[in-house]
Amino acid sequence: MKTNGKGGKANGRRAEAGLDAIAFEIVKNKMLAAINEAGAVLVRTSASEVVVTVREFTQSYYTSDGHLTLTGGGILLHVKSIADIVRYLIDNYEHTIGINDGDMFIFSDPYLGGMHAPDQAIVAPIFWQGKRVGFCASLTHIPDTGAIDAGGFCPRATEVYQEGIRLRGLRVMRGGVRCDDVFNTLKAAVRLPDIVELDVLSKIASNNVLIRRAQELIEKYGLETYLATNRELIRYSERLARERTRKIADGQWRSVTYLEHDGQQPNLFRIQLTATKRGDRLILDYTGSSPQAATSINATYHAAMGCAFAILAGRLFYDIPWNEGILRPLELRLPDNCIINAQYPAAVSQGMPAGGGVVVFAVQDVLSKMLLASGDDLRRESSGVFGWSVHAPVMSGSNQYGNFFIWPTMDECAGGMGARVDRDGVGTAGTIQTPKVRIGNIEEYEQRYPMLFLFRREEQDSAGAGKFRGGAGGEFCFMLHKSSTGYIDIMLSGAGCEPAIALGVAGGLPARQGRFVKVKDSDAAALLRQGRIAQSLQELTGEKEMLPPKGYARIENRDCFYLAWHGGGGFGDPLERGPELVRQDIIDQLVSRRFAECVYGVVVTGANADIDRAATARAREEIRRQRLAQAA
Amino acid sequence: MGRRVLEHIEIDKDGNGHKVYRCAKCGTTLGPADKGFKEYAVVKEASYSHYVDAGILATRSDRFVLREFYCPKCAVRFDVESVVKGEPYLDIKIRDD
Amino acid sequence: MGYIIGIDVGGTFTDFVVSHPSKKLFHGKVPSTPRDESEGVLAAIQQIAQRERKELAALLRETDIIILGTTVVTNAMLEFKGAKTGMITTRGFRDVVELRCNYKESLFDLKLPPPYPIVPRRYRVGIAERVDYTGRIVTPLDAEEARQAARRFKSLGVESIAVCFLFSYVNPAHELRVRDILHEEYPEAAVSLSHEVLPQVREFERFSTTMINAYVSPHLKKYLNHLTQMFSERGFPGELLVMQSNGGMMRADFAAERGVELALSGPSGGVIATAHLGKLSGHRNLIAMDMGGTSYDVCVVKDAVPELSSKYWLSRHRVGLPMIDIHTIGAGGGSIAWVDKGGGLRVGPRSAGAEPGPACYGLGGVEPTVTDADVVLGYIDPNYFLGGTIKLDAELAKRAIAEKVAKPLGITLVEAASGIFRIVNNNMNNAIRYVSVMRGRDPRDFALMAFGGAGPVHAGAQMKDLKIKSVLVPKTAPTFSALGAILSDFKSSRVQSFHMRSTENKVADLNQVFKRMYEGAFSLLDKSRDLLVRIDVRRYIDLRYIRQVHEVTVELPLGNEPLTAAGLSRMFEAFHDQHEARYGFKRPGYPVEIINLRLDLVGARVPTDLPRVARNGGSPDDARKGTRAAYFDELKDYAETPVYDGSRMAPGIQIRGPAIVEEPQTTIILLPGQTMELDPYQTYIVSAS
Ligand SMILES: [Zn+2]
Repeated sequence: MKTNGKGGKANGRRAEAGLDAIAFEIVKNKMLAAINEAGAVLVRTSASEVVVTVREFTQSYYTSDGHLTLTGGGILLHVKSIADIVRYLIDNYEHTIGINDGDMFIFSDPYLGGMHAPDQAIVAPIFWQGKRVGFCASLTHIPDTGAIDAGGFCPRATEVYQEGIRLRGLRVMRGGVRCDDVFNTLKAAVRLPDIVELDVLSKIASNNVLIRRAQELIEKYGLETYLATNRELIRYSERLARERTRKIADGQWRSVTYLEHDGQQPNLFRIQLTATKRGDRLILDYTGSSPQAATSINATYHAAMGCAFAILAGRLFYDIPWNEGILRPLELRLPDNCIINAQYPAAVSQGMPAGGGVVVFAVQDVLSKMLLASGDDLRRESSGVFGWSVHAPVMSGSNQYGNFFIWPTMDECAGGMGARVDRDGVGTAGTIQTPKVRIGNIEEYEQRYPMLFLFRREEQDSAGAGKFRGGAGGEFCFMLHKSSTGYIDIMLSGAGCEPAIALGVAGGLPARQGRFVKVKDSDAAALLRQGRIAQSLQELTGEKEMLPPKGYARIENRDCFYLAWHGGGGFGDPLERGPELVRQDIIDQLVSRRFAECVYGVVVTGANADIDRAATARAREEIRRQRLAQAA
Repeated sequence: MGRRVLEHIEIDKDGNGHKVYRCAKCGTTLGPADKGFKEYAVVKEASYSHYVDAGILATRSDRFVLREFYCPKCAVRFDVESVVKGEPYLDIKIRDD
Repeated sequence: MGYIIGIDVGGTFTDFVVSHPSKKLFHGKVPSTPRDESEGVLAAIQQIAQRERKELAALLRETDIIILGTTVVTNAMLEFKGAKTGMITTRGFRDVVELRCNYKESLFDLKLPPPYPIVPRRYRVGIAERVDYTGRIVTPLDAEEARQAARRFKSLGVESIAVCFLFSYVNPAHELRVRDILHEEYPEAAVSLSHEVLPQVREFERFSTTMINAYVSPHLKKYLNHLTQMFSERGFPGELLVMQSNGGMMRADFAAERGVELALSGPSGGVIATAHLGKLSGHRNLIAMDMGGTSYDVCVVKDAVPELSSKYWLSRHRVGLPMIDIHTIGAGGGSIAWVDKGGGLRVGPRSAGAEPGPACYGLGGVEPTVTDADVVLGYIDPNYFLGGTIKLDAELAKRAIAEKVAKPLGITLVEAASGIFRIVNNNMNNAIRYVSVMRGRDPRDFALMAFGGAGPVHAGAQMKDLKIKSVLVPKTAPTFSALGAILSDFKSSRVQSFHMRSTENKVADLNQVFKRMYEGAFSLLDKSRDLLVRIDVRRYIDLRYIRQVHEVTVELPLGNEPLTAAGLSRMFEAFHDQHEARYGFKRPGYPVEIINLRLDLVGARVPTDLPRVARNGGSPDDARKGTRAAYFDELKDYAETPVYDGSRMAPGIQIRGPAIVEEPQTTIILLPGQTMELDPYQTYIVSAS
């Protein structure tokens, strides 16, 4: 069993001696501004779609002994694990190769931190007048690791050695000078050397911002105030996190989510979460979850921890500075050799989005129920589970210019939000763990990659039904266009294609599963020439192959590729939804008439979708009757 | 008003001071609170495939089920589980002392 | 040469500024008439006529131009009172404005509803047509479907239609054809084509901007037509001009078709005035800050030209056009100070607004605000707030801060008030850093120009934190937007996506596109030629390293000369250097790609001279009206501080801080060691110690 240690005793309310509340607030806000500034530098200079559009990056500050004091960025999954990397750096190199002013160290080992090998962190010490006073770090997801599969998600892998180069603190900057030996080694190990190099440069630029701003703060407010603010930040967040945890109802909740595929064949893995809340402590216990897989869908401890952190930070502690303090009320219990606590050298490249990804769903599910049982202001924070198909199909091949490309599609991050206790979820609006994700424009996709999209839109009936429904999910379909080789390859890394995992709450229904479909030898191009743009799979001829959630697919000229991603879970019994709300959704074609009748018991007639009151009353009565009719 | 467990489930005391589950919608007493409330609900369980026709789910599966829990009196739906067939009920225990 | 009248319609007042070659510049204000802006505008003109002792018709006959800043567009978007609008898109892409590229305003505010749907899904129709990224037609336009859409919109009473097709910026044929069809089927409908509104790659930005244009233009057009008619009926022979969001002005008849370009019509004038007065005072690089009751706006003027940005959101809808770059945060006099559960002192973002307002307003507010802190610290005289128009209650301010801040934190009243003052300054300075540092600019190279009732109270302390050397406080601030209107030039801004890699030789194509952009822009200025003394062409190119996703904009040499291959490589060099200056590294020798071309045509008018008052020197004692106790952090105590009457200040008088200068609309606080002087253009210049 691996745990994060007991959440220590609560600290007193009084702040650090000698640090007044005003200086604390000012220095804290300046550190936050520095983190945002560093993030802007990353976004504007990176060449990775995943950094710029998906915003998969993190910047943070640490104490000189490696405790996370403040973090920000586009993705919450990594912030906890970088602290472990910083401590590894101190423990292993401080008294050996040394940690000096102007040095930066590069890491990408999922067994040290991060989710998988593409997560690359650069850690830099912060010096003041010759003395180390802290650390900062920047992390991004790089587009290739030189693994057995392009892009670094590896369904074929059975050991971590096959999943690409793993870096354990190579010195990429020495005394402010870039180390070309490290750059050249890294570039030689990956498929997209230019992009990876630019991403390393971006992170160095980002760290330089963090260092410079920290030094300016020390110059202005004094070293003592800076150090005291950093120490106090952790305690401050801990106090707030405990206070909020205390307000949640005491009790125990259980949730189970599943993985339907191991990357090579259909399979079944269970992730069981028992959440116990008592006083100001929260225990997330995964005892009962499946043993680790022989394939790469495992998550490391860091990935599981990161996913739990992301949901707690985003749903419960969103207004508290993010650092170690908010984890102190939390105890995470992970059995050994478990699918979400894999032992070295298990393959883990698909641990995110697979094993770790479903942790996201399980934590959301228990949290929604816990909040619903709590006082009124917390009750309002409850919601259906947010859609996120954890699909991330990675496309690669030759583009229309004859250049090799790798494109991890992230459109499925625009999932529907879960329904709330008093309103519908927002459609195609995004996830919690990656809140800053942007999805690209079709015009940019088609300029860069050899494809032509037939549609990208919200999917009818995709949201979980309820008294308030979830936000709609989405769907897209493309065919190849101007491909220089006549094909592209797609590496699938999904989950939630068989089990419905965007669950509803309090009687609300889950959102539909996500799907990957390949249409073999379609007539899409011929239809286009005739003036018809196919708007559904039914309109296309050709063999429709439901692809597995994980694995490989090749899309050739004449083939189409279809992806549907999750809407949000619903809240409450759909029979309690006002018929007029159902009617509005029908008019906007978000809900079909058939769905309205079967699920909401609302019957409309005519072009204006007028509500047939009598028929609606009858339909609802009939549904109730069937509910109580003796089950088979 | 009792202690809310889910939107339409609460724990309350009956006339004898025993803790019981009630349907918060119709007020029906479901049973003693020493067991999970799901033990007293009308349970409908059907494989995913059953839900595809209405459009609720998109992909057929016979190993996964939706399990729905209803008030035996007013038929309001308390909860829905999405689980593998045979999975024990996902219970909730609220401390209400 | 006759009168030039600048009018700015604000929420409360309609301001005017009038210049005439043989008369002194003058200004004034009348109440705004929100239900029908034109009544307030007419009232302003009437008041000008009265002041000039002329009949209205006589005044108008002697007026060359009237330049208007309007809130019609802003209000249509704030109150969602635009036209009933429909949208025709490429089939399969009607949800572009719904997906919004997954943008979220407030990352973790799960309670935030979706933006108000100005064109709900039921009014968005996809029709068969498709063009690929090279401009080749993949699927011909189905004219019959376009006709059906037109008839359907007509039957639904849709007044305005946005036509938004993929890659129309490369090949606009289908959008143009649909316009013809709409004119045939439904001639009354207003039509906005995406390739005309914003001919730029990225469909979300283009569709959203076009949708807003369709939504706001019909009302704007009605309003401007009404004004034009109203003026011409009363004998006005000149041109009605309107301020645009890009910091320039345009003929009303052209502007009426492009409502989205008037979203920042009012603030635009203010920024022009900032640039102009800054220049007269010897400061070409400025950060303008406007601190009101609930919001804090900052924007940057670089080398006497306001910075533009294409990242604007209007009532949560994306506008991709270049507009003056105003960055707003929730900080102002009404921002509430509070102690959070972790024991931290926070200021904002919640505001007490105007009602109940700060505790010291005595309207029932009990939450301590920034204004309350300013009163407790002695910066604001409770009896002379906004020139004495509102009486404040200092006791209520003290009580609120003591109860809600000092007591919970275990600190003194003055420590609490000074803490609130410093924290809000820090938050505002972070906004200034956002528009400067985040864009690779050092705030120390700028002067601060402070507006708003509370701005000059805080600016002195802010400049110290930012290490800025000068703060400018123009006395003319209250009518700044109208002043900016009469100082502004014609300006037509064009953007066109154009893709070229540094390894390609497409310089002839590039020149061809620039030429077309020039001609398009020039056609809008041509009619106004007799008002122009000069036309400047500014051209820019958006560049990035291949595979980067964000661009750096590089300016070409002034003028309209075709680019040569050598000129192009100089520009690539400039890109490498600017990338390094901004982000700390460059990759010389690595291929670069061109994404967009930008062109600004500026038609300069005869400059309007602002009155200049000679420095006569004089003693500060002439303006002194007393003393009061004010707290200064530098002294860690209150000091009996001299108070000066701004209306008795004359150019040349120098004041040394600590000091307080009271203007009717604001108060300037000088910290110990800071000095201040009124310059010949009625601008106070505060200098760092
Ligand atoms: Zn009931």
